[in-house]
Amino acid sequence: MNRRPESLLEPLGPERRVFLRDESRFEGRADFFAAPSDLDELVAAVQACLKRGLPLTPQGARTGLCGAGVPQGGCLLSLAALNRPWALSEGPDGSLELEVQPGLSLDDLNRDLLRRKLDLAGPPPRPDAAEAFRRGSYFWPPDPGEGAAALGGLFAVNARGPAALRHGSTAAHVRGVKLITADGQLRELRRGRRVFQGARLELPAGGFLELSPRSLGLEPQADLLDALAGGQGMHGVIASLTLALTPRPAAVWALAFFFEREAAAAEFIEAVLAEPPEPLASLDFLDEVSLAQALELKKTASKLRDTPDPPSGSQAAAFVELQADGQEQAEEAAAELMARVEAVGGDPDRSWALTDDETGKMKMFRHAVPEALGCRLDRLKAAGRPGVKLAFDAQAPGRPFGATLAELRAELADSRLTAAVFGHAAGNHLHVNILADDPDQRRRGLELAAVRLERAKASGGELFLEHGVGKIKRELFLACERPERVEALKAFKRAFDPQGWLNPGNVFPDGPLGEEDGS
Amino acid sequence: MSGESFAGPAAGLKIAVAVKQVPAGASGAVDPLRGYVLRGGARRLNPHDGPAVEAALRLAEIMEARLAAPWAEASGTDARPEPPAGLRPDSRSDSRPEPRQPVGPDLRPEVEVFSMGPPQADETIREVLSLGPARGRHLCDPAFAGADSLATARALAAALELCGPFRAAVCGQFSADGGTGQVGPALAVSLRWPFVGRVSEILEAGPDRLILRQKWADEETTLRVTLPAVLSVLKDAFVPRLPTVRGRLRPKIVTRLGLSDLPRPDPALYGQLGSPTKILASRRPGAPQRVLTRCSPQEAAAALLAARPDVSRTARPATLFAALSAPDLDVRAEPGQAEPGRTAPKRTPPRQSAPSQAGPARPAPAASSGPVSGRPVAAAGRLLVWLTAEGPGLSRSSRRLARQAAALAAEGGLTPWAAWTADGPPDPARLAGLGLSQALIFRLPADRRRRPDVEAAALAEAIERLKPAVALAPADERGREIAPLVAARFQAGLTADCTSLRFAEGLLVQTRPAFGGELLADIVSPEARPQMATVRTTDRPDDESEAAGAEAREGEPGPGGAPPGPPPEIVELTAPDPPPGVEVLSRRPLTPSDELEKARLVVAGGLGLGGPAGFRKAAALAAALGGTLGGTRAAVERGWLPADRQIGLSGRGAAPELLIALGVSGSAQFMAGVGGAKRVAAVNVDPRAPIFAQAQLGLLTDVDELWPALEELLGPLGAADEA
Repeated sequence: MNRRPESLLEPLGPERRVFLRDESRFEGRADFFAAPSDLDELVAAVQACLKRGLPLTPQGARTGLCGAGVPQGGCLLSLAALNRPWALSEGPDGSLELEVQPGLSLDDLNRDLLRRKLDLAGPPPRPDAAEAFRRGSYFWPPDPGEGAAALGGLFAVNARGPAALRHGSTAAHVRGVKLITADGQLRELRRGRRVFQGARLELPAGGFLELSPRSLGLEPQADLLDALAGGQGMHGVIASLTLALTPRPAAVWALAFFFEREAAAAEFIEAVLAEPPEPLASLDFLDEVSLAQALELKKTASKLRDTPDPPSGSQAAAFVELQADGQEQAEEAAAELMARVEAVGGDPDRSWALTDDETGKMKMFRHAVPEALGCRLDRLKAAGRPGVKLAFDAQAPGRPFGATLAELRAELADSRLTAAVFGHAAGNHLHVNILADDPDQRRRGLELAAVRLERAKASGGELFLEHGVGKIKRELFLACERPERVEALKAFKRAFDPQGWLNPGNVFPDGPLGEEDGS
Repeated sequence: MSGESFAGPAAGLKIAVAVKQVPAGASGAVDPLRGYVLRGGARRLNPHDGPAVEAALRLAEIMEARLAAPWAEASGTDARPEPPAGLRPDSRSDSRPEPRQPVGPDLRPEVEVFSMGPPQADETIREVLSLGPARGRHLCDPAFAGADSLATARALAAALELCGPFRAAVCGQFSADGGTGQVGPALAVSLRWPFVGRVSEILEAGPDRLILRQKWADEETTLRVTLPAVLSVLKDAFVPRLPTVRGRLRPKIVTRLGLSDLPRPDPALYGQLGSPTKILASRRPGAPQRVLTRCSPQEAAAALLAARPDVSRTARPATLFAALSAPDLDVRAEPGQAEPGRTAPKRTPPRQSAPSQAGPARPAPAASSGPVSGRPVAAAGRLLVWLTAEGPGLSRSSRRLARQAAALAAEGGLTPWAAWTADGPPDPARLAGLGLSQALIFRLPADRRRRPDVEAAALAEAIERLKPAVALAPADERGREIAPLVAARFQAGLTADCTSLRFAEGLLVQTRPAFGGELLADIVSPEARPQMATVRTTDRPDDESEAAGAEAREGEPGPGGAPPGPPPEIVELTAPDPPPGVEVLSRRPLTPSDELEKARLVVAGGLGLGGPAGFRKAAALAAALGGTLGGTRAAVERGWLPADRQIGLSGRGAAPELLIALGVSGSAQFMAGVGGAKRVAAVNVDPRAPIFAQAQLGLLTDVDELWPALEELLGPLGAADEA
């Protein structure tokens, strides 16, 4: 530690205004700012806040889409300077584990993994682990599409992204975290040490929480880490993460199929889901509005300049990633997908097929959709019509993809609303971004969201499955989420942060959470 | 030339596209899973060649449509023809091709990919084939290794002859590694086809001719080109398509061609043996000096003004920044060893030590016995420089190049000659003081001005008349096109884009950056004459005050201690006719764009500017310095700056000579957009701002306090601050 604890907290001056917002364009406020540069400083900064009675909001790379890292007063704790891999080791099963600081970006992690070169801030690895790392080729599967995202942020929203179809969510690839709890203590939590025993979970600071994992949307015998993932900085400050590394697939292909009819895209998605090719890693849907948004961003974004426009007249697209054990397997799967496009009356020549080192281009285009939606808010703001993003996501499992989509289309038409609709085929997990430019549209949008979320609940789907709830979806979350889930999350929050010090105003209203009050 | 030599009406409708595999390091190979830049042994398609492939494919597509529904063209019109689908045969035109039946598969125009390179280039050819070309030809033989642009073009020309007939060949404008931009023009000369560079649009394509748009910085021309012809295309004009799934899965046919397959399998024509230029040495340039100073706003203002590429002497505080002045053509200084603090070129003796692998060193050309009078006769010991007229005088950059050439000639003991084309009489007074002994002026009608093919023919004639030991041309848009056409004609060695020239053992040592500036290479042409180079110049005012006028300096010593500068003796000639094949249909002047991508100086603002008022000041500063305004994403998001001014990954890319970053923290996102900036000067109050790690000049001061200091030097910057 280089600095004395009292000097770690600085008043937040105008030059730090940039830290008061994230990718959701939501704007917050804070009185103090701390950007610790090592673990000791981090612990000291948290303790200094607690000592002064300052609520604190941990923040990563500000790439969040719901304002979870945007403070609502108190101290803003930026983890951005804690951005190094820490230690490499072999896990109990012989696999490789990499402990990282929470501010390390996904891009930097992946670059290091690709180069097989780690600039570890912590202790040197044992020779056998170092050798295994040099010999093998590893990656870390979670990829929400935003490479600038901090790994702590990925865990905090339990990010999923397109490849969740194959790899699940972030929590599944985290073996442990170091968490600074609301008592200011640093606690090491390993997967497998604390699991739900029936409806009982041992807490890190001692004592037990009586809560069924089901009520939190978790499997029976879920791990404490699974419950903490997606916690958005409300249960503690993540001081490090231990990632489970995975051997890299031998061949990676990114395919995009463009359809002149949305219904054909939906049929294609249903057909692929019914009988997925072996190397299928992701299957995403983009509607016409989403494609138009990406095209809009393409006009100004230098990174998209080398990407051609999608075939004109495309009403929808399906983006596919294959992670195969070799080129041959990828080729077979691609040919199979082509045949399925033809089977639904699509034209397989309205497609892009990128392999290996070119696939980044496709990801960039896919990621341009949420990015463009943010830029749209900027344009509205510049035109004097500032608004808050109106977006929600929900699964609707158990029904055909096309039926879910058709129903949404009808509801959008009834409400006279336009929305960018994109999402993941698995579980019919759609993101709906309503293009609400005035208060009336916003009102109708919120009504529509409530209807959609209600329906998703009825089908047994999860709501707000990725990106978190943060500040901007709080209203919608409290109104629409299953009441027993809201209560369970509150109980879990209370168990970790009875005073409401941690990320006040996030998901729940500011202040200590009462037993009954849900407003 | 028309299609008579071909068997059927449409037989042999083949289009060749030449591509190159380059190391991925400079421009980024990417992680398969994530898209991260990876340096290492990876290789990929030259980024300028994807657009060439795209242009070739579009050419074939338009030709195919035209075979089914020929294009009619009212003779002499420059109107843009209708798109193929809407076309009706036009009976007024008698020059159009006969209407044809729908195209059968055997007549369908095809694209063939040619690439010369080591065995692993095969992979790149296959990648290109997945976009649609019919087959690939891989020139792969140890005898081809080490080729310069001329020997490369020779081999490609031989391969095209072997595999042809072709109706057209398409090239990218440059390669990312060598960056000479010479293969296209040299290929055209080897094939004796017309050459059209800087193609930005294909308006029409029939089996016998094309209508093309060509884009220069200051004008757009519409050309009719008789086929066969060689085209080189602008990178940003043809966004390459992505492969379709079918294209990716299609079997790829690549034929390997070795030396013995070529029509003239003489190893002396190809590879290193056939290359007139030799690389003497290559080295890494010296790391640019970095300065980070905590300074007063006044010091910061002065340092910023000193940094700008077109600074006038009055605003130059000598010391803090001299090392950061724009790199100039310096005929004596060793590149990479810029001497900080030096303000005027010092005369140092020519270097005596040249590496021994310089090849057969020629004796130094005998010093010229004074200006040659009358019509030039063949004699050794001349240095010819190609210039650009502007009215009765020369353009500013030409004046600069003339002085530099004169100084170089003095060093090498050569007589400095200049040549240019003009459509009016020269004013000798305006040509004084440049150190030139003689000038050849090619008079041409106004409608033939600014045609690279005419200029190339004129330069070739000047070379034939003067037989110079050295011929230089500016490394500007036109010079970079003219010089390779001429060099190929004389089979002379040509080094593109030189930043430094000197003589060693009688040979011109030409230093140029390669691999995007990662390396500096010293290149010589031991045998071939003239020794040709295009020379990078900057258009900042000359060290002597331009305003004082050249006339005033008559009789004064020229630059670098060259002899006094009377006006040159002028020989006027008639410009040669343009070679057949290219006709200019129309010209449209383009106003120099204010685009960030093109600006030589960019002032970029971040949140540290505090608000719209700060950005207004920054805009005024940019205008005062002759640059343009950009900013960070955070500033755009706050509405302080329009979105089209955003620099960075999600915004535009800027590659100015100088980037002045005011209150910019320097996120990776932002820095990705200014990777091309030659120098970065950063003003920030936060010493930990990452921008300082990237800036050659870091000024640690408060931007708010900088404005008054700048206004003291520059006058008021925009409207008064708003609250």
